[in-house]
Formats: sequence, C-alpha cells, structure tokens
Amino acid sequence: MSVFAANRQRREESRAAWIALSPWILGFLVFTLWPVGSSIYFSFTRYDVVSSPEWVGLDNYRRLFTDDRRFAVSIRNTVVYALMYVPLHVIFALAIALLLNQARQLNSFFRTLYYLPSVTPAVATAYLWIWLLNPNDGIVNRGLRTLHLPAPGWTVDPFWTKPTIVISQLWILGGALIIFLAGLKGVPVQLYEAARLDGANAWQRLRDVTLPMLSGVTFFVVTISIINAFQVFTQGYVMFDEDGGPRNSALFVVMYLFKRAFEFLEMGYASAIAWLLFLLILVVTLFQFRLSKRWVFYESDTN
Amino acid sequence: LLSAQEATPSSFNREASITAWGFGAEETNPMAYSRIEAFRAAYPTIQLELVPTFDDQQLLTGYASDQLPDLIWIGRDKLASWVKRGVFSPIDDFIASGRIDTSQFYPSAWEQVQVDGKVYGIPQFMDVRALYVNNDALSTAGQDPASLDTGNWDLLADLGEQLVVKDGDTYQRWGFDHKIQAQWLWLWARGNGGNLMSDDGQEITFDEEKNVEALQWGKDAYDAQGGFAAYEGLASTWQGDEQFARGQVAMTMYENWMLGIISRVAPDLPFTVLPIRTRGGTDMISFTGGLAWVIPNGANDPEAAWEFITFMANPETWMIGAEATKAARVSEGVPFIPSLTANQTVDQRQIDELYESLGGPFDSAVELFPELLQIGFSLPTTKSIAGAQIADALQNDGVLPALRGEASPEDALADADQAAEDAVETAS
Repeated sequence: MSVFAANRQRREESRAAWIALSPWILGFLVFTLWPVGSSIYFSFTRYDVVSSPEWVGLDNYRRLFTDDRRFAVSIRNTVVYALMYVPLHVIFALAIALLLNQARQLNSFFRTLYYLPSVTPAVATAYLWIWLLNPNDGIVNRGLRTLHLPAPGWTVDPFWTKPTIVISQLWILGGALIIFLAGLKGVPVQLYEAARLDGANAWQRLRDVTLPMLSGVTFFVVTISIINAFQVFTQGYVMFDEDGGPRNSALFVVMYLFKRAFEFLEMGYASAIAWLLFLLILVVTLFQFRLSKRWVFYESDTN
Repeated sequence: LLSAQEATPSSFNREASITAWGFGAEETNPMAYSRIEAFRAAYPTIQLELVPTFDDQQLLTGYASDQLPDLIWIGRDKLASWVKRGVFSPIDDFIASGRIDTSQFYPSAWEQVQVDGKVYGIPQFMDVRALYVNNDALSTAGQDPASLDTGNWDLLADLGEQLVVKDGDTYQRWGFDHKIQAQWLWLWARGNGGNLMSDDGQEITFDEEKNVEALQWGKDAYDAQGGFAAYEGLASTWQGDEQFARGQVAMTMYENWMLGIISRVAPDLPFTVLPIRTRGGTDMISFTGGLAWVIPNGANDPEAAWEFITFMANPETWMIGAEATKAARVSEGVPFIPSLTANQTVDQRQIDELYESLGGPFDSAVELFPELLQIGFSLPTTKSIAGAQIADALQNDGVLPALRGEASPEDALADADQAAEDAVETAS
C-alpha cells in the first residue's frame, strides 16, 4: 500500500469516527457545555427565567457567604453526611466483595441480590426506610423497645436524621461492590501463593496483599462516592421534605439549590450555589489526589 | 339532567382549537368529566386539548420558549406572582361583556384573582378551614361538643392535653392539632388580633406582639401534649388524611374536604365541625384558597379560551357537574357532599336541590362552610411576587424553630421577619 493510500484511509477512518461520534459531541456541546458555561454568567446575575438576566456582579456570592444562614447549614449538613457515608460505604462494599469473592456456590445469585437495591428506584427505597425507621411504630424501634434498648427518633430528631439517611444508603452499594469484585479478580494468584509460602495468615494476606493491590480501585471508589455524597438529593427530599426535615438537619446543598431555582425562581442565585458546590467538590477531589500519592499503589509504578 | 346547549347559549361558532394545562377530566372525576363533555357537546367547533400535568417549571419553560397554551388551571395563591412577571393577561375586557356574574363569587376568591386593580382569572373551587371534633373523645373530657366555645383558646389547649392517648412511649392519639406547623399561623395570628402582613401584601409584620402571642399559645398547646417532636413522630404514621376519621387525633383543624374523607372512611363517626372564633370573642375566622382559570400572554386564541371559561363558570354547567358527581357517589354507595365551587349561588343550589340530609354533623358542616367562605380571608402572601419566599421564611425561620424550642417565639418571628424582608428586597 502506498503512503498516499494509507493516509487517505486514515483520513476516511477518522471522518467516519467523527460522524459516529457527532451525536454525542453535539449533545455534549448543546446540553452540557453550553448550560454549564451559561450558568457561570447567570451566577453573576439576578435571573428568574421570565425576565432577562440583570447583572449584579458578586452580589449572589456575597449573600451566600454573609447573609444566607440556610446555605451555611446545607454545606455543613452535606460535609457531615459525606464524612459519615463515604468511609462506611467503602468499608461495607469492600467487606461484602471480600465475602462474595470467597463464595464457592451461588456466587452470581448473591451478586444479583446485593446489586438489587442499586436498581430499585431511589424513591421506593427511601419510603421503605422511612417506614422501617418510623420512631413511633416502625419495625426497628419496635424491636429495640422489645429488647429494652433506647428507641431513637430516627426521622424526627435532628441528631438522627443524617445517620438515618446513611443507613438507608449503605444498603445501596451495588456499584462499588462490583468494582471491588472486579479488582479482587485482578489480584494475581501467585502473590497469595508466595505470601502463603512465607507463612502469612489470612489477616496478613488481606493487609499486605489484597489491600495494596486494591488501592487503585479503592481510590476510584472513594473519589466517586465523595462526589456522590456531595450531590445527595433524593433521600433528603423524599425521606424528609424540601427543607430537610427537623431543624433543616437533612437539608443538603443540592436540595437548597433546587428550592432556590425552581420554587423561588432565583436562577442566578442557584447558579452561584452550583458553582460553589463544584468548587468544593473540586478542592476535595484535588486533595484526594494529593493524598493518594501516599497510599495508592499502581503496578506500573513498580519498575 | 340539563342539556348542555341550555347551559350556555352562545354565538361562537367558528372553528377553533385550544389547549389547557393543569386540568384533568378523567372519567373517575365526574365533576370534571361531565362538564368537559358538556362543553364539547355545546361547542362542536372548538377542539379542546387537555394537558392534565402542570407545574411551575412547565410554565417557566413554556413562557421562555413562547409555547404557552390558551388556558391554564392554576392555584390562586400562585396567580399574582406570575402576573407580576408578566405571564398572564388581564381579562377585564372579557368580563365587561357581562357574561359572568362576578357578584356571585365569594369576596376572598374574587379578590384573589385581582392584581393591581385588574382581573386575571376566574375563580373555581374553594377550600376553607374549621375545627373537627371527635364527640366521643370530647365527652370523656366532660365537654359537650355542641357548646364548645372555640373563642376560648385556653380551653382548646387544655382539652388537647387531656385527650392525648399514649401506650407507654407510643402515641396513639394526638389531642389537638392546630396546624400552626402547617402554615396556619395566619389564621391564629389574625384570630388573636394580630396580622402577619398587611392585607395588600406590601408590609411584613411577623414580629408584632399579637402574632408572637398566638405562636406562644400554639407552642404551649403542643408542649402540654408532649411536644412537637412527639407530634411529628405520630403524624408521620398518618396516611391519606384519614387521621381524624380513624381516631388518631381527637380535635383537628382541617380543610372542608375532610368531610368527604369521613363520609367514606367512617360515616358513623360521631363528630362536630365548628368554626374557630377570635380569641375571647365570637367572630368566626378562617382562610380560603382555591383554583382559577387564567389566559396566558401569547395565547393563540383568547376568544375561544374565554368561551371555555364562560361555559365552565356558568351555574348551569356547575349543576351538570354536581348532578354527575351525585350520581357517581350514589352508584358507589357513598353519600354526596357538595363541592365548594367559589360561586355562592351554585353552592346554595347544590344544598337546596341535590344534597340529601346525612344527619347531624354532616348537615351542619355543609351549612357552615358557605358561611365560613363569606368571612374567610385569602393569604396576603399571594399578593407578593416573593410570596413563596415570605411563606418559607415564616415557616423555617419562625414557626418551626419556635415549636421545636430552638428559639423563643419572639426571637424566631423577629428572625423570620428579617429573612422575609430580605427576600422581598432581593425579589423586587
């Protein structure tokens, strides 16, 4: 084949690729990049969609930082929720993945079972948990009372509302579980054999072989679940109300954003909230990457 | 049954097609279904399309993309804020044709569809609030419901405390639900001689002493029954607004439509519906709400839309709906309770021509509601472009923190007042 022919073929292939990709690229430009870009501009305006935006400079941001008590509450709630949810979520998903990895029989049955809550509609599971944890006559508190244990006000006591959501969310770990399982399958068997020959017990094998070999996967799961935790919306909205239940204790940033945007029609203000949330997530994620250099081990680094 | 043509004689006979958002006319809703069928029969040249789902976002995007329908069926509490954004058209010119007798509307409903001296909608349906009392419960406290003085608020609070039923730590019945947690401070504040806002919706006066007093009374009434957290725990187990019919609350403030629930769930329940009276006085007090037909700016065919509204507002059309409702109820074996239509003439005609006595409590309630509608007020938040924010500030910065004991009613209402004023300032 001549050089020209090869070039022509490459050009044709790349044109075909662009054509095939164009629906996605177009969708991305029109429905993602453009709105995201516009929201930067809107965040410096007062805009109720009906009238044209009116430039207010940094006023929205100033109000968010100085006047808006409920925004501060929503940030605090979201951070506290993330601090509770992320570690527990990762530990639970990993623990169950380790168990499933050991299972000799009914492997795919259990995998399906644990994945099921992840494909159940979030609103349905939220309602389910609201009933289970009803402080007055939910099955959990009835059980606790029978055992003469204190029965917390899961859904009415501001102290318990976030743990209530965390509990209901821990049930949904299918995504992380599958990723951990895939990671576990990728750990070379020889490493375990070598460890065993060296006399390592099960705990040592877990600590010194499995966990380091999974560190890349764990990093991914942690990062994604932090981002998810910062974007929590449905559970707070459904299990409590648009204001996050008792003392706004389950009012998360995205819920507050939603209220400002679609109930009060303050799109400019809501855009400012969205950008602050984005910056917060960005900072946390960059910090994560920084931190990861200390504990994440990649096979390709070994040389 | 009246024929549809009889209901609205009209000279409108050109071809037209109109779309309405927010109004559903499924067969399971005889009041809506029969009237829409009657309209289609009376106006064979008008193609009517109903889009039952409707929300603020739809209105917003419809307006932004210039795709609003000819008619919108909307809560009257939201009307003014959209009018002030320029989304709806005034209908004064249509009204001037005299085809709708506007003197038949209850005052608060008619006032609610007017903004800055112009009319923007035709009110339909109305809700109003009163006290529902479980007679058996009340007699255990040695009180005769018929002679209960609802102007004696301390007595109401006392009874609430006496009527709570607990089994160990589990609440089985709440004593008295005054609904202050559900934004009904508007009623109690006014009944106490205060006012949370000026009637024109321009001035916010949450922190007036009389309002603080009313909130304090509400908080004390709940604390005596075990506190607001206990209330929330119990109330979150209630379903389908059936708590009163099922004996889970002894005395409760509620909308008129609870009568229908009682007639369905517990028709034999001994109960009494009483008007709340001003504190220490005898004047009845209540507030009202409801829906309206409006014509958005940029409607394709406002004339045809107006024909539709005229037909729907006609008393004869209402009676077609009421008769169909009664027929449906009879076939289900459930008693017929008249709807409150926002039209005084129609409400009275339903009682005179269609209602069949159900005995004591139902009869007196059916008689009471039109009286309450006469004196009822509509919430002044509906007059403000920042109405939603004002109501939100009152609730989240004032009422709830006070009920939960996080702040004194005085401090909480002062905070809420400030938050509401900030909201008005940024919205205008």
